[in-house]
Amino acid sequence: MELRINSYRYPDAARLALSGLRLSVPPGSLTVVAGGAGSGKSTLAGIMAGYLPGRTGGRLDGSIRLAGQSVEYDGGGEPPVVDLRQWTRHVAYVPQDARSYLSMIRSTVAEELAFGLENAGVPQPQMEARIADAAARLQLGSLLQRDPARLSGGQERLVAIAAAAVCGAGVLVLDEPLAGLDAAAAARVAGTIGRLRAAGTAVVVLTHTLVDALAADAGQALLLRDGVPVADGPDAVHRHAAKAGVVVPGAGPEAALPAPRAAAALEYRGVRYSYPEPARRPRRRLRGRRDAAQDGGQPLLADVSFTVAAGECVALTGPNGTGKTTLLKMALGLIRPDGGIVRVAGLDAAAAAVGELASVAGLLFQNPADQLFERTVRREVSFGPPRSRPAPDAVGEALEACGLSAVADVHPYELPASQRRLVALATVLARRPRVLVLDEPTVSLDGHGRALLGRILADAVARGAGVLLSTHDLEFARSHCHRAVALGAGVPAAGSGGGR
Amino acid sequence: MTALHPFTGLALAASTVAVTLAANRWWLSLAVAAAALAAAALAGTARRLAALAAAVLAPLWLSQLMVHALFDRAGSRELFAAGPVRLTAEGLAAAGGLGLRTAAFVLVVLLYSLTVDRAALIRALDAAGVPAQFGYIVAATLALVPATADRLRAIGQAQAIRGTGGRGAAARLRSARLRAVPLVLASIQDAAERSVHLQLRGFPGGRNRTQYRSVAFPRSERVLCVLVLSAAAAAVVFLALPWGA
Repeated sequence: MELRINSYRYPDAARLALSGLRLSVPPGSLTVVAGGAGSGKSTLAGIMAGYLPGRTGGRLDGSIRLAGQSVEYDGGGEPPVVDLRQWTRHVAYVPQDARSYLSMIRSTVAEELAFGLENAGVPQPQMEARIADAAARLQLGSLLQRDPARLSGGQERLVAIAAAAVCGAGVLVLDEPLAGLDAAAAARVAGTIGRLRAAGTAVVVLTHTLVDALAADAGQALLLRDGVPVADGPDAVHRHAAKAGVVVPGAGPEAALPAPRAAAALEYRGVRYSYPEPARRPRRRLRGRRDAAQDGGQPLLADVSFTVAAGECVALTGPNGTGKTTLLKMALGLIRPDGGIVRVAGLDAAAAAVGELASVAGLLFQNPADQLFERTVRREVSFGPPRSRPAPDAVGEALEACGLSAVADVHPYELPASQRRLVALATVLARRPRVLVLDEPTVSLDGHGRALLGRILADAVARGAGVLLSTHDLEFARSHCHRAVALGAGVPAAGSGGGR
Repeated sequence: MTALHPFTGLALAASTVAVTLAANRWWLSLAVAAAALAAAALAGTARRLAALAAAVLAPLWLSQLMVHALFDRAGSRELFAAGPVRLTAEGLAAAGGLGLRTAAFVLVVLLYSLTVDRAALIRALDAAGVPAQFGYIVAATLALVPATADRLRAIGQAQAIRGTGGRGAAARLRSARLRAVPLVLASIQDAAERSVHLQLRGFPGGRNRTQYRSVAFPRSERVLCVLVLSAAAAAVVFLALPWGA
């Protein structure tokens, strides 16, 4: 694939989304395109995937060569529209939001993996073989019969990557392929990318984090800033990445954290939880714990105990699907434990009303789509019923802290993923909670966003709030948290004295 | 119905509905409605079926009662009259019969949509040469209730942790109102994003689409379908003739 993008402009946009970009993607190569939020990565992905400009009204001046054919764009309002059915045989694209990639009309992961193959008319025995192969490479065997609508965030990404890889397109474009994956899953994805390249597939990775596992292997690299390539080649990209808002591992400044206070902000004691049996979902009582007699599903959490002190930041780590999100949601009373006690600022989370818990604790969901529902950023951050609406000064402060003051009147969905995540974080901060519970806060954040998050955490800890955040980013946990608690598959959590 | 091929279930449901509507016998409507509830109980969805059917039937019954019973002009056996309201035994019987037929129809259709294996229905439609987009629309429509319930739960949680909710009818009503706009906006956003990615995965594909899992349509079930549909058609024709009814 060869791309020449002189300019790309969205309809009604004041500035160019991309300009002056040349990219040649030979078979078997790995290309890393790095850039912060709003740098033009998603636009580039859309053009490579064939759906931009399409009929969206965007104006592209340039040309694309793919599989021996060339498409010329003259920058006009009626660009040629590519035949996506043919295009997708050569280019597969997994977006940053892996959930939207899944068709959701198939009842098992295996059938979801087959979706693209069915559309391409691949014979059944070949499908069987390719799915078995992809599942083995990404170790998805245990997920194959699961319902795609009931996967964890990390599992969704693995399945989406497998569904794209299985199609055998010559070019594979992956937007943030390692976001939200645990170390083992990230290694499996990196390994799969290596094997696909060995078989001749060209892989293009779009990222705001220069992950060693991929960056080290990249034959070519490009750094984007405000839609313009500012560095070419792995070394140059690495040198200039931090300034362009890209996360560079090892480059983060370590701020000294004040010592935690003695009082407990959030406490888990002997917490147990099992997935309800899928066929017979037990009815939960409105208040209190679930009936122990109704247990018997797959155990997820077994006897988890740890405490987060006031003024302490604790990282919750562990592989995908080990119950981190479940544990975090318990702090706001959204999920009730089967046994044990969750205490939030002195309240029993299983007995207190969600509204009562919400007055002392705030939760950042893993997927901002689950959290954002208003028409502008400011309305979103100010949302609340009359008595518990955040005060205007708290809203202003939260917008400022998250670097959103300039986009306060924009629709949240028009912002890049990194800023959308910060909007969700601002909605939590505006309520000035004493306990901050953050589910994978670093995912989707570019370098600037991470720096803001680091400052926000330091401020929260300094004013005596307790912070519990789940993350796969051990480096972030080391530099911004007092310690880490590791959850393992089916084993009780063990407090580890990581960090400082 | 889950163990049957989706088309067999469809043939049974369609035949039952056609004969019940054509026969217009209160005892047949009642028997069909009861049978649908019993089948739902066996499948473990009696509670959901009853709740959904109640939601659909309540406004229908109310309008039938108003049109046929409360303002009846034709009936001779008057039970009650005040101003424009005239309740007659004939009107009540007509409303009752129509109500029972509606109930039988709604219960059978809902029972089929609750018990059919969605994925199997799409595969069956694909295999039958129906355009893939149509199969997707059918599947998306059948998935609408659970998908909307999931999204509503997510929005409800996001709002609850920002202080909405509370106890009492007023608080519940307020939370329901607050969820409505986000629900519609989120559904549109989701549909827009997913439609792009469906295309990028080659959907709907061409004539040479293949199937990873096909649904077996055993000969016995095909024969059953033909027999049931033929019998139903014959019964409807017979009932429609002057001496039938």
